[in-house]
Amino acid sequence: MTNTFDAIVIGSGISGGYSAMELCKKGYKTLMLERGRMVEHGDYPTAHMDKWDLPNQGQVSLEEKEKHYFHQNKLNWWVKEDVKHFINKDDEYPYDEDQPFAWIRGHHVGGRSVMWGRHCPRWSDLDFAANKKENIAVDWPIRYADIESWYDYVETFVGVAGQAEGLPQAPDGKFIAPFPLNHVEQKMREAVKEKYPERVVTPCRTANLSEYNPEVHKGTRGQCMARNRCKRGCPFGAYFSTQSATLPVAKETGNLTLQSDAIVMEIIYDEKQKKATGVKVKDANSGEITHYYARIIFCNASTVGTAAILLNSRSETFPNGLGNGSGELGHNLMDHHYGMGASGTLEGFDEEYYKGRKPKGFFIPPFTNISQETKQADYLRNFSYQGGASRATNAPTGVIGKDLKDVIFKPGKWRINMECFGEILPYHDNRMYLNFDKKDQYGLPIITFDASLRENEIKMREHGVKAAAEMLAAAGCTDIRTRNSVTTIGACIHEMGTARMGHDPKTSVLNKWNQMHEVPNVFVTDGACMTSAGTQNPSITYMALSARAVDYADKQIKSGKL
Amino acid sequence: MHRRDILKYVAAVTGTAICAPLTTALLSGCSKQAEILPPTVATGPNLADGQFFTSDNLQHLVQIMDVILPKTDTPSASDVKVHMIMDNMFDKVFTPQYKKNFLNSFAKLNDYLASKKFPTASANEQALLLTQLELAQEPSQGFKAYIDIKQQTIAYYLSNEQIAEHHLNYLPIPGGYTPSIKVAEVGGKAWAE
Repeated sequence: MTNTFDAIVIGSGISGGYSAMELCKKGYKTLMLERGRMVEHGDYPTAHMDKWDLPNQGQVSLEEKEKHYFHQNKLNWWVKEDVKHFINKDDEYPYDEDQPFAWIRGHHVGGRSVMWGRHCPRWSDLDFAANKKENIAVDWPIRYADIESWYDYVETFVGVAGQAEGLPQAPDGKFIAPFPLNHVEQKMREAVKEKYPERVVTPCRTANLSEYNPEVHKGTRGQCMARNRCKRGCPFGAYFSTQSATLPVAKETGNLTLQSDAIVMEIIYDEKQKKATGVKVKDANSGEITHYYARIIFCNASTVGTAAILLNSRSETFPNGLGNGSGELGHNLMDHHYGMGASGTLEGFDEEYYKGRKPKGFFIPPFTNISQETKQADYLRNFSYQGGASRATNAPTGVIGKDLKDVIFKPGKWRINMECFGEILPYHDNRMYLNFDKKDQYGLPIITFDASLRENEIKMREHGVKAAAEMLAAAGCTDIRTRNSVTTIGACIHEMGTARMGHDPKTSVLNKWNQMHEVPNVFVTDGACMTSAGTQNPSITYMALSARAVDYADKQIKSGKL
Repeated sequence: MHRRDILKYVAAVTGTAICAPLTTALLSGCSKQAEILPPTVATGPNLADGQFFTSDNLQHLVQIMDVILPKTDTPSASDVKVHMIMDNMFDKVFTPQYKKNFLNSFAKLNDYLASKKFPTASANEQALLLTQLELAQEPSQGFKAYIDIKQQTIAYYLSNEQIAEHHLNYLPIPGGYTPSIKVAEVGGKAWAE
């Protein structure tokens, strides 16, 4: 194998997969480097397991959690027997915290595209313009018009099930058929709309193929079977992942070389040429060092991974990390915050039921601070909800014996549950940095987190909880229970912002094309590029930005500018 | 601890959302005692020590869970080894603090039930005792252990292969999603998880 390629993509997750596929399709001989192990499509060992097939009712033993998942299990819903093989062991991949941080990830081909939540809400100009309007951090160098056609482009390939609503704060995508609201969710939609016209309960916009069209859903895709076991990996290829979609398409071009167990230690910068020339890679198993070279480099190692590689790429020109003249690298770390919401019982509808386990429930786009009329005195930005209505097992108090059996074999009462997801502002002081005095088993400096929620987020949470209860009440629920337990940053697994885009090289790392201001042949199109966080699940935006950046890089190269 | 808090807590421990309407405590358990229930395994063979529970404690657990879910035309809780699942969960999954609290409350529950001659009572008397315990205005000291046992018994029973496949609607690959059907279309039964 030659060590020289046209392009190198660092990372094989959702944005790395997309960047690599687009580069390959445009004819670039592309090397994709993944630090973790190989996972082939179909290599999903728990995909067909029922609860009784899994040990401990699906729960990971306490001993194992304490030994291997002391960070990852900060999300107590996350480390389970059905997915633990896709979750990093903390004792193998350590990190430090000045303040509590949940860095939830899995080092393997496909990365978190295997276990992701699959929500695909678009950003709007409300989000892109917010920093400028409120004079917070720096302005986004792009607006919705810059990305709209790229959303169209990637959504068509990804296959996003959803329902058009015509909301300016949540632009409609190129939707395939939605997974419709069930009977009670539909009733809730109507009741909420009646009382709060600006609050729209709509089917989640999700990357699951409700309709499979082999003409556009290329790769190894297929119709959704409504199993709702997506995060274990889908043998039907029904949700979008690197394995099911971008990787097979990239491979088919003949231009892709995929190397797993290949840890990028740093990006090599050439002082004379004033550009990056390649990457230094350590074999995760043998420890052998190899250099690979390329004309352009896409860094898609995830928000924190990318910033760590750039911070570790030190040279005479860039003593504080590649392209870090602004000093912003690692700063402005964002996520979404949750752990707040409400649930309630809806009496009646005893004859109504559903068939199949849809992969997602409902979505309520933001409805505060979206206009002058909805402006809030207490906080900036807004929040959205995800939720669902289902019939849980009924276990009435005081009922046992044969009577209890009669009850538990039947569908229980309808419960509606909704979780609120709030925006986190870009605070310069929220950051991750490298501790060069402490190294991991591969000799990489230890990543250290120092970030927290501030007053704006805490204020917003109160309203998020209150509004959730209001909507359940409007729907006619009783026994409404609210919750508000503040999550640590990272817990939403939407890290963003460590190499932000901006107009000015003095205050940002990337330009409006996701290109490093100071190192023009390096592009960053993962979550590191985000200038603010919105409330949207960010992956579809990373994919759109990746396709857009590859298109730009290609044009620059063809016109001799890069 | 308020009854509601206890149930929320139990749901967190079992990882299974069990819906327990607390405002409408049904009294049918108290009023339908005329029906003859089959005997429990109270006089059955001794159980060996489990991984976590002693032989005696397993015996007590089985007695209680088989009153909660007795053998009818469907299996009892212990028929599908719910007590062994519970033993494993206590051994492998639950925190030391939870286990300690449970054992404390469980000891009080056993003392209480012994004082009421629960082990040798008739099936109907046993059911009455547990129902009264659950519905008491002032929860007794063993109440928390009892609720834990009840909730876990139901959760583990329904997630048992035999129960899920034969007594619930088991459909591992639905093939698609239909948002609205009538319960009668699926024989009035709940979907297996």
